[in-house]
Amino acid sequence: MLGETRPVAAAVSNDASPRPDARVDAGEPARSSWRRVVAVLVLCSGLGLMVPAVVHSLRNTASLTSGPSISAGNGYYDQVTCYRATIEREVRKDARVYLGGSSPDEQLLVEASEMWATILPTPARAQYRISIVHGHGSCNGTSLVIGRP
Amino acid sequence: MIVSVALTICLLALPLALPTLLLVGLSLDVLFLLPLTGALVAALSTFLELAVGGTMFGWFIALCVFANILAIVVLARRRRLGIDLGLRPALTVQSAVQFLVIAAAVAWPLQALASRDLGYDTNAFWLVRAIEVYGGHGLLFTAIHAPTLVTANADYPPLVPAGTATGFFVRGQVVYDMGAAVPAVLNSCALGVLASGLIRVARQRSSLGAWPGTVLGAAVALIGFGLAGPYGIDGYADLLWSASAVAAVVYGLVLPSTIRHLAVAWICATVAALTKNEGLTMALVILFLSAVRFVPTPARTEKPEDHRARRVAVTWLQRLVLAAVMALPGLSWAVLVRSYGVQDSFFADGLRLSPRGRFGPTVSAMWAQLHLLPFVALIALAGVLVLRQRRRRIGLGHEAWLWACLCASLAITVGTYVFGDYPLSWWLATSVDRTTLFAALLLYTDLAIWMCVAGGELASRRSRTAEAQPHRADPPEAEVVARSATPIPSLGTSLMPSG
Repeated sequence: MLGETRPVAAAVSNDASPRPDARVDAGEPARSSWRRVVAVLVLCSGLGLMVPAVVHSLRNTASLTSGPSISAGNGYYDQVTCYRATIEREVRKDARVYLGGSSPDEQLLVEASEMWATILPTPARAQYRISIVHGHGSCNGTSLVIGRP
Repeated sequence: MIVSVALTICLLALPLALPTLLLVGLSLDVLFLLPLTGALVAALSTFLELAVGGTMFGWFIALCVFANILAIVVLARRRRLGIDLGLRPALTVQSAVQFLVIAAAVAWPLQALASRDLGYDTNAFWLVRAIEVYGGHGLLFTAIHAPTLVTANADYPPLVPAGTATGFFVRGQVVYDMGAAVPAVLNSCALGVLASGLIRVARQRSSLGAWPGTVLGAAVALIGFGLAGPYGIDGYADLLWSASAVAAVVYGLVLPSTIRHLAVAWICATVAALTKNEGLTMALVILFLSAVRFVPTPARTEKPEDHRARRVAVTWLQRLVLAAVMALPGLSWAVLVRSYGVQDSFFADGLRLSPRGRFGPTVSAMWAQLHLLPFVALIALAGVLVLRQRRRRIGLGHEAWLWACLCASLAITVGTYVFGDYPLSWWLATSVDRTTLFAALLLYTDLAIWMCVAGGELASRRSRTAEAQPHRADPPEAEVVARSATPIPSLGTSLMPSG
């Protein structure tokens, strides 16, 4: 079976008498040196591959915690939480809403409306139509337009 | 936020401490496993919320009570059942310092949570699904049956949303930053389990040693976050399933085959299966291979060949049953949502029957993420040819197990891109760095394992040279080899900690 370990005790013995595998033992020092060389190569190659990857990881964390990253992340976070707060403020609880806009905007509005309003796939029976306007507004440069469908 | 996240992780981890400790044994690195076990049970609770009714949190409490009662019954009857639970304390200053080193390594990248960044998929799917889980059966059931509300991936497993929803329960309301923070901490825990597995590899007799192994484990944990980049902390689920699946490979297919290691592999593979569909496919592969390794092929005897054929058939039956039982929790969600008619969005229109022109760009894009592959393949080849005896003495599984998982992962990923429905250029540009995360992390893990083997070879030579040599060849490995041989694990013997 793969991974099964078999006894190798027979390979080492204190008995100095000649053994059938004496010819094999004669080659052992050479093989041992060879194994050592390969082990050193594996360790050096491993270090050579791992150290740059660790450095990359530390740089990645440093980049994600830099001022611009934190500012951008917080700005976006404020934007999406602003949508939810606006809907909770301006739309009646459990009202039927229709979400306008293209895919990314619609996703943000689904996220902001769920558990507060009932989202309908068509505007026919909706009480509110909600969409995002880009370019200006109080939600990090965007705003919600909430009106009748 | 820090207090809320800490409370959420405690809420996930503590109720399941007793059952988990009984299953995998007492050691500090279980602290990394406990939140994952809690998230797993939260995911199963979401399954019950959808299938039966009620809320995820209600089911979570019920499942925790049930698991603890079961654990107490096993504890009370362990002598009558003849089970050695192996709960001897393994807490030493050395293990505490090693745990702290790994904890520091996996906690360091979490400082990026200060940016409160939410990834695209986090907004588009994971947070939406978490709100639905938090909202109870009615909302979740409606959303599953009206997948137009969440555009794509409506069939995705519920572990990450369930973890995030636990954060909502703690806060008592929907708070978006939980959608990034809870998955990020779970990422850290999964990498912590992986690093702990590497320490176990290193502290096997004849291996590199616990301290260098700790450094290697910490390095691989840091590399995991580095490979994931922003996806490690902005609410994506790819690092979680990848790290959990790699940890399952280490415990199930690399470390000596014991029931405790199999239990850790099972938990990790199930976490991967309940995190993403890619995780489910890999978890099935890992669990099947782990079952094959755990139930060894019957030895040859003098009995007639037809008896051997029968025993081989029984062995394969045992393996299949074990793999199926272990795969059940991971498969539960996939079966349920497909019974509701929800399709995998990659193959919503069936398999692409004319994938011409998709194979080349796919391989090219994946290659750009896996430059490490030829180097690690070379190291593994040299290791298998020259250091295999040392690897056997350490008691590690054959290299072929790990590479079988790697090849399966690459084949599944290539197949998905080639036969899937999405426009290829956009699909590759937006996902290939995440879909190759498992393979990349597995390559670094294999590298670390071979460094343990090579370090063990050198350390053993050095220590032998340093010793006075009254004997021409001392036989220190004999006992180790006999002990590390993979036996047929019976409950009584294999519940002992394996080091």
